[in-house]
Amino acid sequence: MNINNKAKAQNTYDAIVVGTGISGGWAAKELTEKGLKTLVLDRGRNVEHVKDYPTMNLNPWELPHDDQVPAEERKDYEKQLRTGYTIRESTKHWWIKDSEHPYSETKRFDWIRGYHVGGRSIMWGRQSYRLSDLDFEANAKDGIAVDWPIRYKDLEPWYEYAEKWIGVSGRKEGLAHLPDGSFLPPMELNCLEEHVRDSISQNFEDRLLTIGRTANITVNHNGRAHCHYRNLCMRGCPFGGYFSSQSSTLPAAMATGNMTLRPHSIVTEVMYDPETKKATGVRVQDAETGEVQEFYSKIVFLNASAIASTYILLNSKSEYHPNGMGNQSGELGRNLMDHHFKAGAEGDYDGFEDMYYHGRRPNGIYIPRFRNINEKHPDFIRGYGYQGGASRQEWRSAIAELGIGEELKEDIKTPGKWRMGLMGFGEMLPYHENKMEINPDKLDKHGLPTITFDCEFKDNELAMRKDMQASAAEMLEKAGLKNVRTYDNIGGPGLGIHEMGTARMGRDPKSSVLNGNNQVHEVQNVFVTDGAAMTSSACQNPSLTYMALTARAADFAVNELKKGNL
Amino acid sequence: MENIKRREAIRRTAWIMGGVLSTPTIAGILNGCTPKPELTWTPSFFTEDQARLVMEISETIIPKTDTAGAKEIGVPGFIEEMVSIVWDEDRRKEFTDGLMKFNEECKTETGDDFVALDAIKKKEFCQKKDAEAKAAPWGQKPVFWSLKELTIVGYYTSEYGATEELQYIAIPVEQHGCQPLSETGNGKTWATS
Repeated sequence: MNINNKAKAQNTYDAIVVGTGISGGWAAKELTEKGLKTLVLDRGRNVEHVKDYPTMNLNPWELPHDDQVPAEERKDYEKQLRTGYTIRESTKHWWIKDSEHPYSETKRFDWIRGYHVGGRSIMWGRQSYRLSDLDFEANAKDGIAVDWPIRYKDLEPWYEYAEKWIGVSGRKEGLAHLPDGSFLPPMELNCLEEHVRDSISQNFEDRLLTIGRTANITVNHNGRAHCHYRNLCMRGCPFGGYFSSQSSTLPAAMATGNMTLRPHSIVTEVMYDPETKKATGVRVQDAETGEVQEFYSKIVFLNASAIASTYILLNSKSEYHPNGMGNQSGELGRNLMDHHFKAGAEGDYDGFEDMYYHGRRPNGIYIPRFRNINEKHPDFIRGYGYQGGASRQEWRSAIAELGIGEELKEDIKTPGKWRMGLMGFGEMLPYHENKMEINPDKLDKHGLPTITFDCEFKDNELAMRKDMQASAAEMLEKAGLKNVRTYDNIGGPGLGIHEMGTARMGRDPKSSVLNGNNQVHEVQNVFVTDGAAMTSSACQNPSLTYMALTARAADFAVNELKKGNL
Repeated sequence: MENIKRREAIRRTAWIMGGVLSTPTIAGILNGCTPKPELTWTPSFFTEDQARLVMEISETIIPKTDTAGAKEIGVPGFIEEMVSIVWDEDRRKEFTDGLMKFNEECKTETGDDFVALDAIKKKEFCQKKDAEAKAAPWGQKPVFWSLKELTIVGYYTSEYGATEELQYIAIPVEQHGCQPLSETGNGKTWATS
């Protein structure tokens, strides 16, 4: 064996997983548990569970200046700041600096992300809902975009599998279009939420209110301690009370002895062998040293997030794939979607003054989609669900509502008025012209090309938002809330941090990037199982679907490997 | 204002009398009015006059009663930190300009600097400013709005504010959605949500 061969052997694995967030962690777990020697790459620093959560136990008074980030430092986070809640003293270390990782916008797109092992699984919102055939059949029925190549029955066992591993708390409601899962005990609604739930059930035949289905565990589960109701999830949880790669999938992968985790590894492209028509591995640029290395494997799982996985494929150009790997359809980078939200209503309630709650519930309520299920809405297709919740006003509302002096001090001690808000999360359609492209003219600090976004909401989303406001107000008013006010702060696509669709699944290689097993049509040992794969966005929070798709694809990939097909 | 001879004279007199007058107190006597309140911290961004004004307004918003007031909890220093470090330059200038305007309005209305008023008059003036701030449209809120916000935030995110004035549990362990207020700890507002 000569030196080159030896080096190559050292850099050869059965599988390579790119990314360690929600779907990458799942790919790592599934592939290693099935016996594959797996190299798991992340472009960011390593993050160890608990040990690397520097702010997890800080009390409010232990955080500087009300947890707000100083003006000078905010300049580094120009776009990440658009959410309004991500860049805090307690959480800023989980988000990239736009000054270091720029992108361009032909039209506004909010690309909110973190570069570290665990990715956004540390900061995610944890809402976990199944899609149903209402969603999987939607494109075909409406005659838009392309049909999903799978149906609910294909994914159902994998939803079950994912839920049982991560632990999802929630309540079974028996809805066909929002299938029940394998749930841990639900968290409790508060008094006003119960009241509104009852009112909705009495007044609206087609609607119901339930507790959010969340990947916070309400009982000890798989060696992790139950949620302790601190509501500080985004800082990282010392109890492992919610699902993250660190608390759940990466330790499982590590325990197999089959995982090699390599942080600081920016995957710049997937390498291709025209003779076998397969990928041979990935090229990696070390984020710290700049050194470029190649790693080899039988299969590659791209789980770098919708935008980044698509970027890697677009950047994997050769004479065989002049427009990027898997892009013979021309759809790679297109059909960019998010959810549109921040439209709804809120109101005040007189009553329950002698009632309160205990514990900071890291979860809200959910009102499942009720539009375009049996009856067709005249103004838009698809639908939306509501998230939100009720609470008693606390001291922050005193600025506008209370006086000053001794009276202020006294008044603030007593919990304030009950208030409830409902916010719609709506489906965004896949539009061919909504896209991301590689921008070779603008390079990042690693000398790599950046991305330009060109994406917008259109008439269907805008029409839906009117109904999101009106229906929310209608339900709150029916429940006796006063001073009900609607709002609509649309923001840019991407703000939902549910970006998806840029390497969509489909039946036909001419119009889609991935097949029904998440294989790149033209390069079948490359799998993409993150948000890029989504053929439509549905209106449910998507992460649970990425987990199910990943576990299913990993199972398929290992079976195909055993059969010698890959 | 700066009368070095008089300053020296007063200092000497103070020494002769065996008392120790602080610089601000001396300055107050020099200005020919009631002594200026002593600063509870050393300002690094505000001028001493601005600092005194911020201190007295915050103490008027959250005064010492049978429990601590804003001054005692270090709220004025918190306000300075927020304005000087967290806020951007435009907002910072708006704030310091607003402070001057606040004091000018006070002088016009009462004939005195705000800090020179007694506690009752301070409160009356602030109540008026509070009503004006509440009525002002978003984007045109006067400085009092910010002062009230910063005072409340500074006070109730402090350990004292969170744990003594309100109730706070770092690790609640359990969640109960709907229970009597009387059975919810000490029945006070939760400090965090």
